[in-house]
Amino acid sequence: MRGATSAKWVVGAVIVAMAATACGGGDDSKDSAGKGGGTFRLGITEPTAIDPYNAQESEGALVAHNLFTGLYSATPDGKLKPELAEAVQTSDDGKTWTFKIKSGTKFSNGEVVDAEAFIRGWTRVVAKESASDVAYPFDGINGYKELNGGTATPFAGLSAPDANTLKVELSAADFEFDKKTVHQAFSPVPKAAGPASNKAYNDAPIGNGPFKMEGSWQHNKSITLVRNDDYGFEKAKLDKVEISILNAANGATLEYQGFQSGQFDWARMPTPQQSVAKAKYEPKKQWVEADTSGINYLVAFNETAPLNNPDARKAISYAIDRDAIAKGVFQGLQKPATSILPPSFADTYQDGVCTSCVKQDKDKAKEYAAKGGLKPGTVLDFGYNTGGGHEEWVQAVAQQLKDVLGLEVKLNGKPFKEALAQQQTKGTSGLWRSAWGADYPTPDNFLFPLLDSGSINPDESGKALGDNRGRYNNPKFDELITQARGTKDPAARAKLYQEAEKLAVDTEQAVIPLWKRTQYRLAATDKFTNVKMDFFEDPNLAEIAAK
Amino acid sequence: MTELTKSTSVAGDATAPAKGANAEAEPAIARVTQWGEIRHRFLANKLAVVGLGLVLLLFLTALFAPLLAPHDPYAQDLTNTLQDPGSGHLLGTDALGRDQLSRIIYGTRIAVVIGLASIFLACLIGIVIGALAGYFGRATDSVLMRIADVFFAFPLLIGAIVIIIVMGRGIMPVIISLAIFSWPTVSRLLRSSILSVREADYVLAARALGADTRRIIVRHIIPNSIAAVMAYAAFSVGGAIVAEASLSFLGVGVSPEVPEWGNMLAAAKDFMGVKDFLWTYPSIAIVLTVLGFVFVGDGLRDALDPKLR
Repeated sequence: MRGATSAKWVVGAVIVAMAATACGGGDDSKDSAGKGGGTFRLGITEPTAIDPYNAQESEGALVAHNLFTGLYSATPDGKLKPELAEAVQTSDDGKTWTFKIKSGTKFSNGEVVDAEAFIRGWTRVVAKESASDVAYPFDGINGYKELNGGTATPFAGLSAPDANTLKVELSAADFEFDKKTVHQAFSPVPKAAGPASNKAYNDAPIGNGPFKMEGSWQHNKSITLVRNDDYGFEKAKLDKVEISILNAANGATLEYQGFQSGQFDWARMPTPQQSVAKAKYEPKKQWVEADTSGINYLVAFNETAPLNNPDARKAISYAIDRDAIAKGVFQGLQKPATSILPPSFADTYQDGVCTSCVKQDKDKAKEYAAKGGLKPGTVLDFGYNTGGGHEEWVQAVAQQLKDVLGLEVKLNGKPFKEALAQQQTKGTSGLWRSAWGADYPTPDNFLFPLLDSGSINPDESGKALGDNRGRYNNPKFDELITQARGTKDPAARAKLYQEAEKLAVDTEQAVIPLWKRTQYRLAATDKFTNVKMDFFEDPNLAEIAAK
Repeated sequence: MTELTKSTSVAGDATAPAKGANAEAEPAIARVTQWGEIRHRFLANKLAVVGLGLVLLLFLTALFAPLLAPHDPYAQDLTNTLQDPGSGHLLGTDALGRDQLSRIIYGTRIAVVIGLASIFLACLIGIVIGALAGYFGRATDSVLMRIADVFFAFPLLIGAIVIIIVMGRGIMPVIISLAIFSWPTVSRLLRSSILSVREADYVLAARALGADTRRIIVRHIIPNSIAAVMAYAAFSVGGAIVAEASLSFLGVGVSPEVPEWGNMLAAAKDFMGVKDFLWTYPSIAIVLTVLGFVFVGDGLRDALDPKLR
């Protein structure tokens, strides 16, 4: 199931951080590989699950990524890195994928990691009775609907011609399927896992990753990982990772305080504290900074007046002074975005593709407003979710729209769940603040869910259950996405995605990009070496070493 | 205490010059003396006078906010955000570069309007229901008081949030939601004092003279039972202002661009330890306002019924 339960929506500025990448700062490790051992300590909030069948938000994903190793992983700059996939073959129609799995690696209980382990793991996620929130990335595999709907038990699209070969058959061409397997739901699991309802395994998953559990997950208290000495790849250097589970209401504050008092070696911090923290920790090289795989933007409701034409939407975009807000409200810690695809996707990134995003232009804003029927005094609803630290900047945007276009902007703050319900309702108008983080490093993961008409997904009452909340609907755009998915040559494929982005974000201004997703962390580089932020905005635990 | 009571009655005579005097000399003198005595007892209470001063200051600030505020409380200046208190901006600027002092000054308006209106509404509902319950007793009493219990048992903030979510954000929903959960105390207070005056001789006399129920309640019972309600009302305006600020702090009160103390605190909470002036000044404003109303309420209670002291 896509939509409401999908974990990809970025709720708050800091706490519910989803997937993304990193370029790393605070890295002073060029000369020293570090010695072994050491305990790395950090805080998270209570995860939904750490068992890969349902690990979803950043917190659960952090644990699952370190307990399991799948076919591929993603590098901080969004590139695919083979792990258990030794070789791969793709059919010319893009529908059949054959992965050669590295032989001889084991789960920490001694079971062999083979093609069956993958089939077992993937089936366990999609099976109806698992009721997983992260089954949606498997959507394109043959037999998904039957398995997820409960009408068939085996996963028809998966097979193992021999012990170390995994064959995946898709229902439609997708030349980026390999990138999806970066998601933790694509982990292999041992026979010991049993069904998803196996509580013992849910709380102490046995995996094949660089770390293994020490004891069980102490709910709301802690999770402890120790090095897996039988790991099939380069072993981790740390002895132990102690993860404290903090109160979700002020998790970022507790992490920050914990770092200051020496309790943690890695920390996020509340947005307003970042400028002070930066001044204090950047000189000590304990400041880690990265533009990650996410984007902050405004949903514009494309079907309903007053934003039901591209000119009106362009007027809004031109009227916003992103630079002034980034500097004034965010103290320079956010950077204006000029595209919907993040800069960390180097192959497709188009700086400035959204012409109206580049610089505030009051004259052009007025010109487009006149063309688009956005008269002074027009009432514009501007929704946002409360409690996520958005109250301030939405007021700044509202003020600019008022000043430049004379609109009567109505700020509409709602708790996240109600905000979601209202965005889905047919006939909702105006703007809504939103953010999106990548699950896996592919442009499709942004363009399809956010802009394809197939992602509107209306139910019989007209409620949009998909992630295309603005209801942008353009057959030409859909066609470009389908074409891109079916294009084998990576360069040609990237071009198609770029063309699609330009059409939706520039020509038709279906959404209004605002800021890049820039993440900041504190890292105890005085005690550890090679500490970086990974693709998922977490510390690269498997590579960190004590000094 | 007895000394005080004595001296007041003397002074009460002195301040009697009949404002509300009417043709009937005797009852007029009695009435004037009573209120004069109350006023004197109130003014003799130093804390009450301080409280009155604070409340007056609040009202005057609210009334003359446009004259007092050095800046437009809505005017953003993104090149001048989070300025420390000092020249230009006496209490600094917030994350959008708005003048803190001006926002605190304008904040008095919301506080006054919501505080007074919600308690006025609560008293209105409470007095009607309390009077009916107290006067009629029996089944009417039981039914009305059980209804009051239901509202009383509901946690104020949670109940208010539910109502606001249904009605939408804004000043009216906040007033209504606070009133809905504040009236039970008023009705209980009134009911219990009515129970004590219901059998008083003057009520029996009025009834014997053929006065109808409405007249007995409105003209005889309520005026003689209202003391406790008035003291409670003054007292709880402060509580209502805090509740209103709490709602805004939780993001369900008035819209965030409105200059309101709870909004200011909500915006300031993330800057704790970094920009402490953002929360200290609105907090001081809330504390002074609440103290003002509490002192006035205390003073009123003592003045209206010296036996309570």
